[in-house]
Amino acid sequence: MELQFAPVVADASILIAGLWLTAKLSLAAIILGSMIGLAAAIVRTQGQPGGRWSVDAYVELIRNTPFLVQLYIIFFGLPAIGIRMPAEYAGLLAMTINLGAYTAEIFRAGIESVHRSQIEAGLSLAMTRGQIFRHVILRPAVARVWPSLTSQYVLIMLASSVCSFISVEELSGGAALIQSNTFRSLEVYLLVTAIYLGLALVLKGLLAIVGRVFLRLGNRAGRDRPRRTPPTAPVAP
Amino acid sequence: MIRPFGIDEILFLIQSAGWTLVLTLLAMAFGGVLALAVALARVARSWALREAARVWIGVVQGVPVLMLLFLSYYGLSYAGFELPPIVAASLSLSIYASAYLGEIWRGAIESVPRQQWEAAASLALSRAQQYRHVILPQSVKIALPPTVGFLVQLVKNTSIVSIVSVVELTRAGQLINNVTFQPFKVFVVVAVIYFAICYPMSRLSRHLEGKFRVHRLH
Amino acid sequence: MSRTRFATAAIALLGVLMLGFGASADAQSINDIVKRGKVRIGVNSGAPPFSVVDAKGNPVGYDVDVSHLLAKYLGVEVEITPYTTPARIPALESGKVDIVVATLSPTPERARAVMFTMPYSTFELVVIAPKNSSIKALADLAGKKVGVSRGTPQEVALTRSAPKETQYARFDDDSTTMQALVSHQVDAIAIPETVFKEVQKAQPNTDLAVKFTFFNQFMSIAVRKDAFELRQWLNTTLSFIKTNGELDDISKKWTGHALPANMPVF
Repeated sequence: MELQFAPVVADASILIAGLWLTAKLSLAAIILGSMIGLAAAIVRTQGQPGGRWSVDAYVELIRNTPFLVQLYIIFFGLPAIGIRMPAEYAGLLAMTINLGAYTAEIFRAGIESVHRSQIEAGLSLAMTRGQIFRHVILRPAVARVWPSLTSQYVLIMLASSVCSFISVEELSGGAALIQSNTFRSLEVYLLVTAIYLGLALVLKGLLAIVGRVFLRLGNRAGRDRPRRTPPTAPVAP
Repeated sequence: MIRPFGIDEILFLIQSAGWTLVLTLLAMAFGGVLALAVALARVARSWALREAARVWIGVVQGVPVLMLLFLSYYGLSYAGFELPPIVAASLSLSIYASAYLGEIWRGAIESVPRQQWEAAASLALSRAQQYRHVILPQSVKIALPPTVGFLVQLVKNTSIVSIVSVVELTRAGQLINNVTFQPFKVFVVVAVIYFAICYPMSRLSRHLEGKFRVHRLH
Repeated sequence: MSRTRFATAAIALLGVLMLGFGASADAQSINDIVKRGKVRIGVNSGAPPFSVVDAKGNPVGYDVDVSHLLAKYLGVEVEITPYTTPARIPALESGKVDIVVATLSPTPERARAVMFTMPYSTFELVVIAPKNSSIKALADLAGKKVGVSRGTPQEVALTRSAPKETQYARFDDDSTTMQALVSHQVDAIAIPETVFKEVQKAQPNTDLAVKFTFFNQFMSIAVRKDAFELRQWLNTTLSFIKTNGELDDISKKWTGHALPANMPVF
């Protein structure tokens, strides 16, 4: 039984439209989710106990429940209590909230990894707290966690495939459509898997470029990289 | 007659959570064996093995779990195997686990200090013996926290297999919703059950990580 | 040592997979089936009232009755296997079944993959919307969001006949599509009348109503592309049971009405 790709390729316009929607959703979710994550991380590291607890609750809630269930609650559940939105927005909202929780943790780790001495140096230079945060904490923190952020961004792009369950015609939704039109199931999913792989590579490449340009990653090799083992304290005789 | 969303329905959801756990265990078992092979290949002396493992990990980590599921599902059908959907579900989750666990375990193996390798070699142990008696037991400690952390990811990803009608927790929620038409209540309860399963594991993972770090400072 | 073992295992696995892919596409002539003494038929696992799996796990429904009838005329036993919607065609193509009687609607695109017989059943397809909606006919769907299940006869019929400005929201099954309407995420949905009747039984006091019937989508039996003899036999038999009323009896039993008079013949 040979594989026939021709009928699938004939419907390629559906895949291109789906790919475009996947890209748009992912990009929007990455930007909005990171903003939420950064805000949450700031509250978590520098806020009041009430705010810190809320961020903890938000993060734990999202990280310990499946994305699909979060999506169903937003798309099917919220209308039952009066909040309704089109499928694409429901998908974007779910992706944003989900990414926000994960990036909150990542940014928090990054912020906390900036050594106290750096902050003290900033204070001794009469910088305001705001200036300290912007110049002393933020850039090194983000640079340090850029690999983790990259992985997380790729994961949320892959998670967009789940939005096809609520009728969003992104790449996976387009694949399902072609599959029902042509019956060529294995062919269409092989092709779409390859497209996702390509998309992941492109995204990683773009993020690497962003890292190099905006965070000057790789220019100061070794200096900003976190040490793998904690520094050993001198041992008393 | 609409069925109200009551205690019977909640019990059905909890029962289906049992299938979620079964799928997770199957994926850990088969995926774990595969992951060990991947991790060992990743640090092997042969360049071909290292590259093959790297490609495997790269591909599986670069595609959605939904695609792995459909490829398993349709692939098995095309290959002529007439198997219930749970087989495709377990297969895809095992493949997913093999790549991520393989990476985690590779990191653990590589974290074992170089001196341990040298000491084992100086005792004239063969490479297999070095692995079995010296390296792997020590890497288990390092691997445990992220492995437990990944277990949480695995439990959550079992929700994807609902699309091939495997009646795990998420699909059970859909079925209950179809007879009660109370999506908010139903899916919030489903989320609570997932949380009850995953949160303790997340806490355990963090606890183990803390314990281990204290250990290393000595 | 471990590397050689790993390589051997990989090659063995590959060999098994290739054997699987080379799996038989057997029995395409009537004689083969008769000689085997058994015809293998695939049906849908969840498409009431055409085929469902009852509480004991046995398939029942319109398609199942038709399958038994076909086996009777072939003079062989029948082995009926339920498949989910996506698995129907792979089961046929890989040789696990000889015939698929599973609510398949014939389209030119799909006819490139399998061979269809003349239609043997119809789905009365309706558009459902809230009672106070202004939708009265197909033309009213322009600009509205209509929910429909992927890969179903209603999807085929709707996308063919609805106005170009209709927006579609595709879900994976009829239940999810219903949920979308109940949550008011879509303005209307297209589902088979029989499915809606089932839902009405489960939830009688909703404000949803049938707006109009928009099509009688007919469904065909599918066989593999090279099974000319089998298809010809099926067409002959279908024509026969249509004329002598047996097919009408099945239709009345499961859908409450006889088959329409103007079903296409090909």
